[in-house]
Amino acid sequence: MTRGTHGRQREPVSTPVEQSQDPAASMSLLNQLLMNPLDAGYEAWVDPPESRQVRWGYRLLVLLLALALGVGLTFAVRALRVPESASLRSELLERARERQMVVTELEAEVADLSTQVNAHVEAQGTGSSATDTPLALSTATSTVTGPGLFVTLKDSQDADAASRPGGGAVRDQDLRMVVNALWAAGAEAISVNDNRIAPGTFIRTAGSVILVNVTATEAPYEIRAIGDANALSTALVRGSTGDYLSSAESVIGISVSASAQSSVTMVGTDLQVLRYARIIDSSGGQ
Amino acid sequence: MFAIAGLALGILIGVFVDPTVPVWLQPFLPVAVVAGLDALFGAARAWLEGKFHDRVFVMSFFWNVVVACLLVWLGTQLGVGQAMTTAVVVVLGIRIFSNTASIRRLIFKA
Repeated sequence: MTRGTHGRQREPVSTPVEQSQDPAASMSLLNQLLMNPLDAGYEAWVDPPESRQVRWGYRLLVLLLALALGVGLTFAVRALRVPESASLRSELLERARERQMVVTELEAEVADLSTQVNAHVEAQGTGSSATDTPLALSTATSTVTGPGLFVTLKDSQDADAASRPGGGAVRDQDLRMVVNALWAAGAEAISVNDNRIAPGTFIRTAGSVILVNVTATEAPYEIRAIGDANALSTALVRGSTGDYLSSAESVIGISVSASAQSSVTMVGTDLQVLRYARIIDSSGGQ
Repeated sequence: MFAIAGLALGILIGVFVDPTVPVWLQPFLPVAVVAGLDALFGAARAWLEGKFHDRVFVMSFFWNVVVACLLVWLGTQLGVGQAMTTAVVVVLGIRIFSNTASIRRLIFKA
């Protein structure tokens, strides 16, 4: 640095020690600290004799390089900034909500595509659950209407609900006992909070919510069943189910109430898992 | 002139684009930023002294960043990465301080 600028100065503002033939020239760091000279590049600049094009070429190069350096600097600064912990939680909440929206959209797409598939299958005319009514009923894929029963389970509303086991909340096994009793009493279709119970549907607790298949549900839980209302409501108070529910009411404090309805409607569900498919080569079909 | 405009435009672009910096670049980011700051303060001082040339500014910026990153990389290869980072940041910080002292003298006395 010192040798390069030795013969090319124009008007030195200050004469730093490093400019002379100082044997301690390699100690220029300390000299810099003491003398505080301007950066050697600016100090030693001489306007070189260039044509106009070359000068504009250099200007363009300088612009592009400065652009790149500015972008790089901002990227680095942004990457280095650490988010405050207060916003971390809201960031996670945001991400959870986004993922939930994606899931809802995908579910809607699945429902849409399944109706299209069913339409195609019906057009084919081959026997399938879409056209075969008893099969559709047992696989819970079609909309059904009929007389039935509403069963409502509510969390404990007492003042001492927190001191009860489980906080006085309805548990998944309570819902399962009710649903199983209704099936055993001859219900033809059951839904829990508008989630249709199909052959493979499970009711399980995950964390603090009860999941029906993969949809979270919350109290109060309304179980609708289509069938003979008398037989269904009798099944809830007699036998082991009746004992179970009354002990649940007294120990945990949940409330179980049933009311007969003359017309219950519930939509079908289409949660078929595709395990085997074969393309049928037919003349008029797709 | 062009250099400052390019830099400002680059910073603006960087604010709106949301990149992810690759993991292997992460150790070099602090020294790169401090080296860039040193070049910026040197340019400010040169401009106040009337000796600013954008070619020198861009080259000093680029050179500072490259040399700082090279030193840190060399340090990580030799196993003294943290110490080397500290040393580079200390020296660049000293230069920043001396340049800002000159700037202060030039602004408030000139």
